[in-house]
Amino acid sequence: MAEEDVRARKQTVEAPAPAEGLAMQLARSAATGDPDDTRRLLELVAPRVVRAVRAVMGTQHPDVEDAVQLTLIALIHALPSFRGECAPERFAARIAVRTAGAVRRRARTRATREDGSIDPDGFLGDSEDPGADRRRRTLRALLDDLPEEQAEALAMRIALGWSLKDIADTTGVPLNTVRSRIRLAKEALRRRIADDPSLADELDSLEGAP
Amino acid sequence: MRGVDLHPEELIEREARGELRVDERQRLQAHLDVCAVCRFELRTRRDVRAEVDEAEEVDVQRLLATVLTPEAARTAARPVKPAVLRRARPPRALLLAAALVTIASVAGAAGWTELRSNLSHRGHTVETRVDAPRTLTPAPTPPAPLAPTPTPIPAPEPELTLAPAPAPAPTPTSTVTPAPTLTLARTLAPALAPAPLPVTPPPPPELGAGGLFDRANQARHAGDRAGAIQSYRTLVAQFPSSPEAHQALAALGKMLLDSGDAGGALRSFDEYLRGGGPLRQDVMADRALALQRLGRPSDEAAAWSSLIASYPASVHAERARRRLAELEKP
Repeated sequence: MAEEDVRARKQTVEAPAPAEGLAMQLARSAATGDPDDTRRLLELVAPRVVRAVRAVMGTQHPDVEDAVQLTLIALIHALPSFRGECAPERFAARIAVRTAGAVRRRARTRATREDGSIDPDGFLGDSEDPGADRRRRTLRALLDDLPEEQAEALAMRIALGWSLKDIADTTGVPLNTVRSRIRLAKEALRRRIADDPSLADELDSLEGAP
Repeated sequence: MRGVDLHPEELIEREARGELRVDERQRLQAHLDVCAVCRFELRTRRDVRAEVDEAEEVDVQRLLATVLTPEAARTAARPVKPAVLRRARPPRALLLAAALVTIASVAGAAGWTELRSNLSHRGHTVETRVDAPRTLTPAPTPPAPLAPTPTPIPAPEPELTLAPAPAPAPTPTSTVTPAPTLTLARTLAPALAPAPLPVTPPPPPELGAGGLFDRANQARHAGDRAGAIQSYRTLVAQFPSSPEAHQALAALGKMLLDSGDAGGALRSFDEYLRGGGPLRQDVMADRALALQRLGRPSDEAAAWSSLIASYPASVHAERARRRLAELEKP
């Protein structure tokens, strides 16, 4: 891997949230009802919310935009209870993960109830990498079925690429609890892979790559 | 617990940061050789990141236009838990009772017709279901400058390979400056202008689905379109499975259509039609209008045709036929 790629990845993961100090100030002000700072805060966190929602739901899911809007509304309502345990961007991302999961599950339930042949994930269009599509769909289908806490942790872990500590800080639970949730979620993932021989074969084909 | 259940989470994190030492990389490699779950994780992280990176930009200001309303500003100061973190649910009997009241309220206020005849078939499943078009493709988003993206992420690797030992990296520096967006935001539409904070005590912090629906309807009757949209959206977010939320989708779509957000209206109408309901033919007509305003003539024609096929005697049928005739003109 090229050195600059390594450097870029390091930056991506480790770079502090942009203007985090500003975001915290805005969050405190917005929590008191300041409409101007509420707007500025939403403008600041909206791109991250969009990314989080898309990561959890899939970029082509028909309800992505609704989920983003619902997340921002929920964030406004949640600000008075935000005590600054984590960066406001992460607080917003957590709401995004939960909202996106709820919207996905609702869409899936309704689609199944109305017409079992309809799968919201089926509207993904043609991808140049069917294997990537398959893995993303497997992940999202698993998130739909997991208990909420496990789904949240796994989404943050794989879809958002967060560290265990990031997840613990943002969700406000002990690190070992996060470990346990991830372990249980991965066990469910292992069963799902085992139940899908073609997916298992596909993953086996990656075996020698590293 | 077996060996493969002890996933090396810290090594995976260090791999993601490009910080693995040679010996660590070997340990991770040894685990990956026997653990399909961790192979899946590493590969899917990149898959998701690539998908998100390739997605079209979103017009943040347009999103905020339907979120940051005076109503939102007023409710922001309330000590309310986030909707998505709460599981409160009103009793089912109350929801059903409220639904009976609110169905008529929505229909009457929105000026829709033939509700009475439809209500005679209430129960949602009595209606004749036909192949109503289901537009699940999101409306095209006009290109617009996106607020600064905080974390540029490099393209995914073509192969599942581990990063080499880390090279000295420069201290990351933030490249995001929100100021231009903030300046732009202050020049937005009057509907987004900050409302003065209320000096009177806010309404009760915990509104049920019925309460939210009533608040939305009251806002609409009072001409507070933004407030009504906000309340309908809150209702849908907090009580997504409630009958009020389902009815709110129809009302919300109508209001978004009237306010010029045909794409948002279309999504609400589609969501309503997926669940069915007594307002179906009216929503189908408004859905066709939304498609017309979105400039999608073939989808619009299909929508009108579907309406006629489903409800040939509907008050909307004549309009549908006229519009179809117009669409067929060269």
